[in-house]
Amino acid sequence: MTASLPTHHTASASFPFAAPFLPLALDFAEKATAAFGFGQREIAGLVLAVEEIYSCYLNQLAGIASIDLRLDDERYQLRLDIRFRMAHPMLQAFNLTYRIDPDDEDSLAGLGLMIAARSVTRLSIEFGSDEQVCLQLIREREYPKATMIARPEAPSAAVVRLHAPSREDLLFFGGLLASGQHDFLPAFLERPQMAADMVDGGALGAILASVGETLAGGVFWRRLSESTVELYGPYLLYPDDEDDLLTRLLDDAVGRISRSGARALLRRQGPLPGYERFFDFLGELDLASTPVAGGAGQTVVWPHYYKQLREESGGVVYAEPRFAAFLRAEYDRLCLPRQVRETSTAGQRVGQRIGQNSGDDSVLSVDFEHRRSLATLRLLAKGNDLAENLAAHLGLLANERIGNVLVEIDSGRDEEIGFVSVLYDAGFLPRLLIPDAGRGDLVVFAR
Amino acid sequence: MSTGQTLGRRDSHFVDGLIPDYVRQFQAYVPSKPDRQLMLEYGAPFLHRLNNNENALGAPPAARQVIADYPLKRLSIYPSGDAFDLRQALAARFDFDADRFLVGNGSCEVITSIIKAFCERGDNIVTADKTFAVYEWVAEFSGVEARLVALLGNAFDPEAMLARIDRRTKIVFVCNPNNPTGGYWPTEVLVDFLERAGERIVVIDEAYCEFVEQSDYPDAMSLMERFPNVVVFRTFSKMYALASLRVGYLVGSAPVVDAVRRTSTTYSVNSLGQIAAQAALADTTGHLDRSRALVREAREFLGKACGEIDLPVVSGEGNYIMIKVPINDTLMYRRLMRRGFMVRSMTGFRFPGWIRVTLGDAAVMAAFADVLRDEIATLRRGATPSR
Repeated sequence: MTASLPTHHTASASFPFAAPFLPLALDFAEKATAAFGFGQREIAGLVLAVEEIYSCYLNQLAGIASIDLRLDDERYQLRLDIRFRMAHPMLQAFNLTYRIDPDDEDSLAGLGLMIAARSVTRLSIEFGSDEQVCLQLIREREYPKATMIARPEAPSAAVVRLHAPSREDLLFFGGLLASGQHDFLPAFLERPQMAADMVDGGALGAILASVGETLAGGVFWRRLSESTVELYGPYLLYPDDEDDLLTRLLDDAVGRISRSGARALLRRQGPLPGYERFFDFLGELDLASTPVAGGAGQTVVWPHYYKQLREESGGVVYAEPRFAAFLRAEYDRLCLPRQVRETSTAGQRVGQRIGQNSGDDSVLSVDFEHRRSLATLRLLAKGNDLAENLAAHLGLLANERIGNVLVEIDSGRDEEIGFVSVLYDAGFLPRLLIPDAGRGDLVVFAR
Repeated sequence: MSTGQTLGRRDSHFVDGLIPDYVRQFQAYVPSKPDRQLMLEYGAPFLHRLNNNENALGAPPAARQVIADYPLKRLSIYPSGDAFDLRQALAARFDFDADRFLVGNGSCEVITSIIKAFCERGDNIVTADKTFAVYEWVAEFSGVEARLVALLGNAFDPEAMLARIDRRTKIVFVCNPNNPTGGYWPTEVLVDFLERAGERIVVIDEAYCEFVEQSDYPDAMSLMERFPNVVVFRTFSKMYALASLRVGYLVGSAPVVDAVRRTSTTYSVNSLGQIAAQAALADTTGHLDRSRALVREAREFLGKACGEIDLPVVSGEGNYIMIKVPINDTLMYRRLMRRGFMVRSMTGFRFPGWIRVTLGDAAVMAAFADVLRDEIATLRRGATPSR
């Protein structure tokens, strides 16, 4: 399966963490990004992020031994890891809620980090032992939207052929999709050159179906996490009364993915009639289709389907009593072999031990999907201000008229389990469990 | 923004640089956990393993006896490095020179040895897409292309396989009868294929041959004189029920076996396995007939039981049956695990929506049929969500 086999290139360099080496680090970021074939906009974004992060932490602490930069070219995106050692790095400026007060020198100190976070597509933070910090910045290549291509007449009965698409096939298929109505089309299919680059780079698996000479459908998949593959589609361009094409595409895709080493397959791109043969039904989320301030809008249901790909997955989850009750019910319904151990302080207890940032400042990430007025929050770094930080994010999202706010918790990350009680206190409840989708299972909270 | 990777990534960079691409891209097989662990995790009151096609009758009496009689003082002594006595016994049984047999630690080891002996980067093997996966796996983690051909019905497709062969095809693997479908090539099809396959190794994997009761099933060993490129694989894990001792073997022409021997691990087959296999071969108590009868009755019983609840089955030769279930096969696996029955979910065999069940003991088959019937009734009663 190509989605599990990224074939990309890497450039890395290590610099003394000192001001004279900043130009060299910037030069490295710029030239490596250009050498990987990225354009001026992507180069400018990444170089700016490196400059701001380097300068900010250089100012915060003197005497740090070195800073490592590593660029991974994944064709459709660049991944930049910035690694250094620091006991309590300033992180709060990575929050979307961070604001600069020109009269407050402390807030000005975070300006660079705020700029860095906004100049890339995604940012994540990891903490390791011995005060290791890794900031991972991702900058996606910019792609044009698909050009609509009128669909030919529905093909008459002919031989159905499943095939791995060429680049041209993908661009053509994207154009055909663009001419129809698909509520759950991922960005890479709205911009099929992105899909083509992802397939070339091994980040996306794809199978297209042709009936005779006519492209009639396709299915796609990519890694969501180390253990989970997400499936997109099947997208069918013509009526499929007996579900024949749908079944063939799913059987073929599932067969390929099942030998990829992934533990789970997730599908969440809209309802799938007759899903039972392929998937477990995890549940559905109700999304308001219009912003809160827009009054009573329609509710759109968002179903989630799951298929376990390996026969055993076992595991132990620590959870506070309310959360434990939810987990037990879901694990029982899905027949998943997990042991739930009840504790009131699981997150706090182990979160400290694994070297998690234990300062005052928590960091939350926000993924926006404006078309569905949806924001998904995830915990990047725990801190003593978590409840206030969550409240501030919710306030900001309300002001932005975001109608649907979800929070994802990874049961395999102890510090996130510690976030659960904060969520309950803020009126969130667990709505959906997605097995194996993180280090452990993901639980989606909503209000 | 999204959560990212761990710092361990940097630590693994130097390892990544050492690992060949084809190994880095390969995912390790995850074997099932011990029974006690599975029972604990699933809350199962007992566990019947119906997932590995083991023989419910157990090993032939003579094999059990030699193990019971094994002198403990021999535990400190290395086994015969090339299974000398066992090869002599095989030679006597099948009337070939003992040097034409190569014994391995299960058939997986001989699969690995033959690929290592004949294939290098740029070469390929040809086999089916829905068959025993180890041919494909070993090829992939050895940097050799595995060309997979769709089945024709429930058996290998000879024409499609011939079409995929090219000058870099070194080995063709034919699982006969096929695991998991039970389809097989009769003599006439096999001979025709061998006549057209050209100068490359053709492995006929007969892991389940002793269960076959059809008269047109070929004796592939008898074809080796006419086709010196034929190599036959057999195992003591299935019919002879010595799976825990891991003994498999291949037989082929002397030059082929000589080449494979160069890449084989000596001393890989333990002494207990060697003497038990010898004893099993010599068994005269009717073990094979009893096993075949057991499987025949179980096949008939379970096939009928599935028919009564409208579950399609595929059941050719071999001690297994495939059942199409109305839900995701991995969910059915977990539901059955909670009831104490471990089956094989078939998604990994590229048969999503199917499970494979080992045919065996009548009481266990009856209990399994009851549980399956009950699960299906529950599913059909249940209100499934409409999307």
